[in-house]
Amino acid sequence: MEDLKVTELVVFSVLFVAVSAMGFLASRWRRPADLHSLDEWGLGGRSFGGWITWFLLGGDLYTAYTFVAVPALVFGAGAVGFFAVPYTVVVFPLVLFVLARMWSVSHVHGYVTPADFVRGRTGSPTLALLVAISGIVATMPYIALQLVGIEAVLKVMGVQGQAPLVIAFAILAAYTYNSGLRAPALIAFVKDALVYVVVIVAVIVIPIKLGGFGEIFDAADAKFTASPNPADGILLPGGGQLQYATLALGSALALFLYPHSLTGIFAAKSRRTVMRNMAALPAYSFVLGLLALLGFMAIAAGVTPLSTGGKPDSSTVVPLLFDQQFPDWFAGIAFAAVGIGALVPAAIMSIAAANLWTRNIYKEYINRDATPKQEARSSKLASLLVKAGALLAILALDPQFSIDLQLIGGVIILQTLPAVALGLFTAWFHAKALIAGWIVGTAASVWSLYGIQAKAFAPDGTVTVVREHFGGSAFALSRLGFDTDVTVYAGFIAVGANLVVAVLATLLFRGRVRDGHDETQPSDYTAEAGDRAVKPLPPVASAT
Amino acid sequence: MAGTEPASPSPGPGATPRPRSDRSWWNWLIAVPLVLSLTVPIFNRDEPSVGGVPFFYWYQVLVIVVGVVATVLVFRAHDRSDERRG
Repeated sequence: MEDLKVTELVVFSVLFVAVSAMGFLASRWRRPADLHSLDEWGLGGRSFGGWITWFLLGGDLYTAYTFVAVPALVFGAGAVGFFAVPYTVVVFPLVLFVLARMWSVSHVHGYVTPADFVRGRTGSPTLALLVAISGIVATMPYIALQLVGIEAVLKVMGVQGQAPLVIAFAILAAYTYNSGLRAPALIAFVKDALVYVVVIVAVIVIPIKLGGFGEIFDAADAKFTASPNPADGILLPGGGQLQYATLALGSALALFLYPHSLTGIFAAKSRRTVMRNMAALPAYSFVLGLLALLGFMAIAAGVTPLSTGGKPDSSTVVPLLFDQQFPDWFAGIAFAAVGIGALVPAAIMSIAAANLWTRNIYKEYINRDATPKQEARSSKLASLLVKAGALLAILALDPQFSIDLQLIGGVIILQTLPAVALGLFTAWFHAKALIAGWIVGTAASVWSLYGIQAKAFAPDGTVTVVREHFGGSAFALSRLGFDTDVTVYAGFIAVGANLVVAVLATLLFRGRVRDGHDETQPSDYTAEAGDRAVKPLPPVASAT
Repeated sequence: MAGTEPASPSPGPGATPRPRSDRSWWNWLIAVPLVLSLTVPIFNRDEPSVGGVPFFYWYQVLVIVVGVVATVLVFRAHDRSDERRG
């Protein structure tokens, strides 16, 4: 442990412990009479106003994976890593009405999860179950990846072994168990403040030290020109342009289908709050663009990623850059930003997955007469188990494999698009057709991803296959018989198949197969806080 | 994803005001940042570069601003129409 960076570690630990303390105290904040119903624990009593919702939503979006992995992708492959910017530009206008309508209908009917909504809209518990399963499956690797960020930071500080990671996770588990959604909400403020400070300082100070953006892009260009991989570069290759656009659009469509993104929406005070946030959140896109550029700065600064077990770990690129360019005390603050930045989304994600389990699997199929207290307890336990599972995944698996699992998760959650997102606008689809579409879409997801290889390009021109299956998300259209080198985001292929089947099956089933009952009214989708139909905001027991 | 659900029919004179609708011509503004940021061939280039930053990068950052403006305008249009209905 001679390489242990003491100053950085001390600053990091102090901030980390302070934030944990805030987490424990959070259960006292806006405390209602009874913290024990699921509404209270899982949704913070649905009374968060404008700014708090903004921070909570932001906390959801800007995760350690985002600001460790995006620059790492830019570092390794160049322009394609910038997809994160159009992705976030597109997502907010796109979901403006989707989320406003989800808020409205969920507040009229007391929906706590996207599967609740699907059940109410289509009358099909089976479809709701599939949506719940998608949500849980897609969220777990995302949680695991937050740990990749913390691990990278600890590695760069010279901490060896796995104990620190386990301790950090134990703290997270303990305070979310106690306070539910309040813990991440309070900490989200601290996290976002830290992230902004660090990123803005980094993007001003580091380019100055490296001689300006011209130098930085030149260095990156030199690296990619010398690299044998034809797909990397400071611009996109011709055949990669469609991949870029579909990756951005597909990721945008998927983002608000994740249960943890919807958690922040359900917890908002009013429809207007939700819409106003969609207008204000793009400020985060700006931050993301700046973060991506850190990848190029790392190239110009001559950063070499640390290796684990012989393989270079590109997630260490940004921590190494900070370590190299900042004085120790500020590097410690920066690492704290990454570390806390991993905890908030991990907490929210695990709460959301737990809610799905409790409402749509436990209460639906296991204990129909569950009391609010039993529901809350089930969620707390499920949340712990989900976190433990994610932790085990990181410890046992190669981090690279975890990243691929997350990729699959993204494609899988996209299969809930017809039922959840389209369901907010129309009841046209037949419930059983949506089920058929989901099955086809999920199968297509696995098939398309299974056939994607990860390749490594040696300087002498030889190409070796590093991983035979699940090696990325770029689906080659040549696999469908087209004579072209154009690639498309695999999620598009899968959800396309899903929609085609859902449409055809609806036409086929209508009038012949019994459909489910839609318990919603058209006016439910535009209800606002204060309307007679909308449930009062003080905590209610979560009976539907 | 503009609202396509028709508003419920108006209940009659002197009754409660007409229910809220998500429909509006303003919603088409949403298409602008989408088209600008996803039509990749128009910005996959180096020149004109600004301060050493290739066009590909500063163009996309600029489109962020377009996206914010579009979303704010659409939000405002709906907000105002809500106030007018009372």
